[in-house]
Amino acid sequence: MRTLFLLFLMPVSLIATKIEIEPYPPIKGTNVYIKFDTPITEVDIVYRPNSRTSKNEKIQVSPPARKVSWVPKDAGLAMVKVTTESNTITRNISIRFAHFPFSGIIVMVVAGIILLGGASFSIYLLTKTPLPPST
Amino acid sequence: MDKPQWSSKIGFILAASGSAIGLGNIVFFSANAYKLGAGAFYIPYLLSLFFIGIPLMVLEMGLGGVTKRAFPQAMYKIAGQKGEFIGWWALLNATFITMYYITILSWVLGMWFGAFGKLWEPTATLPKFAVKELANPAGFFFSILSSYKSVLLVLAIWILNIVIVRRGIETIEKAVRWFVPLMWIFMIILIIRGITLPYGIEGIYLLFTPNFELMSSWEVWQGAISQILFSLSLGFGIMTAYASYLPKESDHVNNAVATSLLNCSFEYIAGLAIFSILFAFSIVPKASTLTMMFFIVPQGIAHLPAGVITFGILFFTLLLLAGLSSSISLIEALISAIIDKFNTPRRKVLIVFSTIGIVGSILFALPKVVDSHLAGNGTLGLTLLDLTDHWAFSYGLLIVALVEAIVIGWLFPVERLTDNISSSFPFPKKLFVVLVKYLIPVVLGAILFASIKGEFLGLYGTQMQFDLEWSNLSKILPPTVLIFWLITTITISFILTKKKGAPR
Repeated sequence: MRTLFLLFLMPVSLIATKIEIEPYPPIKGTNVYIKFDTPITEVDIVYRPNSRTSKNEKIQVSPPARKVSWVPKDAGLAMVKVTTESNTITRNISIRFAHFPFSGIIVMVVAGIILLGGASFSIYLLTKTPLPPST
Repeated sequence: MDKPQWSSKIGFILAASGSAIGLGNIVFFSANAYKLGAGAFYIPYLLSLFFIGIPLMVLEMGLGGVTKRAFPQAMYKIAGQKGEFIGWWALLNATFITMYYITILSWVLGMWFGAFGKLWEPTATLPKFAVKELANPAGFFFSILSSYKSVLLVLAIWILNIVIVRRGIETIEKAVRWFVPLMWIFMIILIIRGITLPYGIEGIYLLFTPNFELMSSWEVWQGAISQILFSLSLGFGIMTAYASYLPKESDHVNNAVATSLLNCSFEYIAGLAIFSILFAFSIVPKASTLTMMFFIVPQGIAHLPAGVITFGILFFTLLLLAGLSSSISLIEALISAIIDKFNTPRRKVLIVFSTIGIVGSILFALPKVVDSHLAGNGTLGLTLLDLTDHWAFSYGLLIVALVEAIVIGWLFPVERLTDNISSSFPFPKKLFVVLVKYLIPVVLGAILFASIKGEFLGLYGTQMQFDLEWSNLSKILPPTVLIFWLITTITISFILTKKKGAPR
């Protein structure tokens, strides 16, 4: 809860923006267009915002632009940050995985078997015999 | 007087896992996992469970089971008065945590009431705020915080706790037989809803797909180990107290394994539910457990195409059940220790403890009500809660777990414990001894050192600055909370250690 007081800053970031992505949701490695209702000067993509793995990508823009092309480099949550002449607006987006992530599925299945299977086995062993009498 | 005993093994497992499964499992795990790279976090987290979490759980439960005493008296049997002092210190530290935990739980109750309607309205009016109207769910949350309703909610949660612990394990067992299964059912419903949302399943890929590059970072391992330690409720003395109500011949290893795996299984399914919602609605987790609990997940629920009220009520009921099953164990840990040592009637101990606890919880809630400067940069109440959490939770538990591993590992020593506990579960005794004697103290010591070092660089250290309106207060408050926490816990622990116990 270290940065608890940041709670107060939250609503600011939740304000809706006028950034459109076509087609939505974007897929990793597939070209998409980011469209704006006002001319923009800069576009940045923040992959995995607010995390230790956060990574920035600057998209080439020839201002004033109303549409830019972009190929997402990573799947997951990302933030599109757009700078216009007067302000900066953001929009959170989800980038889909290009392929079925086998490593992720393996981790999920193995973890599930170990945790849920282990807990079930453990409880089975425990309930096989009644509680010993108090000594 | 004979010590009471759990009526069944399942009753004990439900109570122990209910204690371990708390608010943190539902929201803190997901926030922490996302912050530390999701897939990069999960493998270190699993390894920490097996090499640090479960061995410490076996220690705490084995200690209670073998000595048949609550934490301070169990530690006394091993290390005399010094051990007992650490035992009391752990419980008093847990008392600080109980006070603000119940305050947070009271806000959950407030949000639960809101989930029936008002929480899902677009905005809330905040007469005390500089911004008079704020978007929900944040707006509704701050409307609870800034009104006297929050004090009534604190009282309501304390009354619920008192009712459940009034007859000790007898009433606790009755409550957890309902609470814990309901928690699992509600969480499974949330998962089904999460993964059936468009692209919700991809949130699960995000949680588990490993990032080996980031996995080499010490910070990820430190986060994973801390998550396991805090998630399993280790270092509170709770598991020792609960296991002391079991017969000596119980299978303490298997009890510890079952409790730990159930706790982490719940975290696993909570991760599935939360990550699927995050991905489906492109919601980026931010900052803290409280943000996740009161803003992020409700924001996701508000986006649902149908059943917003139903799922909202379900989510906050789940939080209430998880929180209550943990808070009752925090209360029981201290009460059982006092009864064990002084043979004081439970009713008397409960009245004194809950009176002090209610005052403490209200002190965490009240500043947010009376503070008219809720202007947007933090408040005295939240800062007090944040600071207390920082010292009591982050440091208190780490110190107790470290001392516990050293005392039981070297003074008891741990071989004596392994010889005295039976197990139906495959239990590698030699590996366990090595982990307790060497690995766990070294790893916990390293985390403690890194955390202390961080104090001089980060928020709570010499560079610390709070954006409070009272500039002097922002300088005085952090050291004041630290000194107050240390003096109070050390002094009372000293008095309780020195005070003669009732003859047995």
